[in-house]
Amino acid sequence: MAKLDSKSERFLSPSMKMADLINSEPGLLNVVNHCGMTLGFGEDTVEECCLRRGRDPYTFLTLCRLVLFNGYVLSEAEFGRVKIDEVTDYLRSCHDTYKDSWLPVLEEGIGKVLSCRPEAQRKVISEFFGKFRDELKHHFEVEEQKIFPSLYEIGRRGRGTLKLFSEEHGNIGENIQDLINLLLKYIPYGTSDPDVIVLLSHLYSLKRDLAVHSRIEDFLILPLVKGGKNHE
Amino acid sequence: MNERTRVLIISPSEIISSGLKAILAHTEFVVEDCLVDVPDSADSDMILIDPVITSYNSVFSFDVPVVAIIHAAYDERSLSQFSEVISIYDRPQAMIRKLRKVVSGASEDDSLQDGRELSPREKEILVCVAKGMLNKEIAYKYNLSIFTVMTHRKNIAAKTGIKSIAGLTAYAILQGLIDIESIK
Repeated sequence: MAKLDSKSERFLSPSMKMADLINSEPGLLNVVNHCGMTLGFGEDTVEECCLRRGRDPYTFLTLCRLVLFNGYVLSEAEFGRVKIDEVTDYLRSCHDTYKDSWLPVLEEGIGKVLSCRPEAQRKVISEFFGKFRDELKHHFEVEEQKIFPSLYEIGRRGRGTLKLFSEEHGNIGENIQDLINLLLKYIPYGTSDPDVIVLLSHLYSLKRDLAVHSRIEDFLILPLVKGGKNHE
Repeated sequence: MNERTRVLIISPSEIISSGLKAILAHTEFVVEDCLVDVPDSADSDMILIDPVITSYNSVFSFDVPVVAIIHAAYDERSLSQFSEVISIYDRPQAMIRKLRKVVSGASEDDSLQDGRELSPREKEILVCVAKGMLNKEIAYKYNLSIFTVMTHRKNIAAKTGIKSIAGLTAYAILQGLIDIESIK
């Protein structure tokens, strides 16, 4: 897979073809999805695809950079141009995707994988997953009820206060890694089971996406609000 | 995940300290103090220091990463004793990226300890953790210091790759170390 190197991080441009961008960095497929864009890009550029959906191309590309480059640090100019409303929409859409599509898929996958396992294993893993799922949903609820409304308010009025993002992010990342390790290291499968591979791939994707999600909250939203660099 | 890193800046230059403080203002690096000379002890997570005020071959007694802030050409060998070197001509993004690397590097060192199987003592402690016992209670039961219990717990997490108590409980059951009924 052709990876953009760190030198090219500034060269993701609005005039690139959207399909070329996704082909070179398939990880951005999730960003496109969370930004509400639908496939069938044809030969359209990033800018055209964004504008058609009423999205700011600049904010979209900033999100892409945060996703692609771990440790990416925004310049002051970038902070000044990002639209906070659109980032909030993005975060909200992530939550919906996790709740409505990813978690049910994981739950089904775990059910499948465990169906032929001894009772004790089944019980232990499904209880652990249940706890993880409930904590994640609770965390989303708190953000949706307490944090997103203030973010929209700040986006509208250019100022406002924000209660800090919950400090549970670290725990959530930890729990999903625990689940991965339990399934990867401590369940003796005996035979090769394609369902386990599919399940683990999904867990890794969720883990990556959640890490990006909290990176956006910590390195984009928090400095934006703290620095008072909100426009309009 | 992105915890605050408390930073101490040691530089005789007010301009350098203030400049660094401004650059770090919107990041997870919290500048707790700016000093003009090396203190006897420091209670921060990272120290940024101007190498002009360290003696030529001084070995640092601090147990946290020490980063050099350079503003002129400087001897390579003495710079090699620092965890990282930032130049006042670095772009802010580059500077922050270097500091983040130092932080993640420091935590990776901790996990280098991962041997293979859990030792008998680690297994005993794991069982206690799974049953919900506090460090204090575990220390009392095995006549260990709380610090030793914490070290064992760190090693258990490093070896198994499992950090949460719920995860460790699940691990203990899967490994047959405890019975599923005994934790109800």
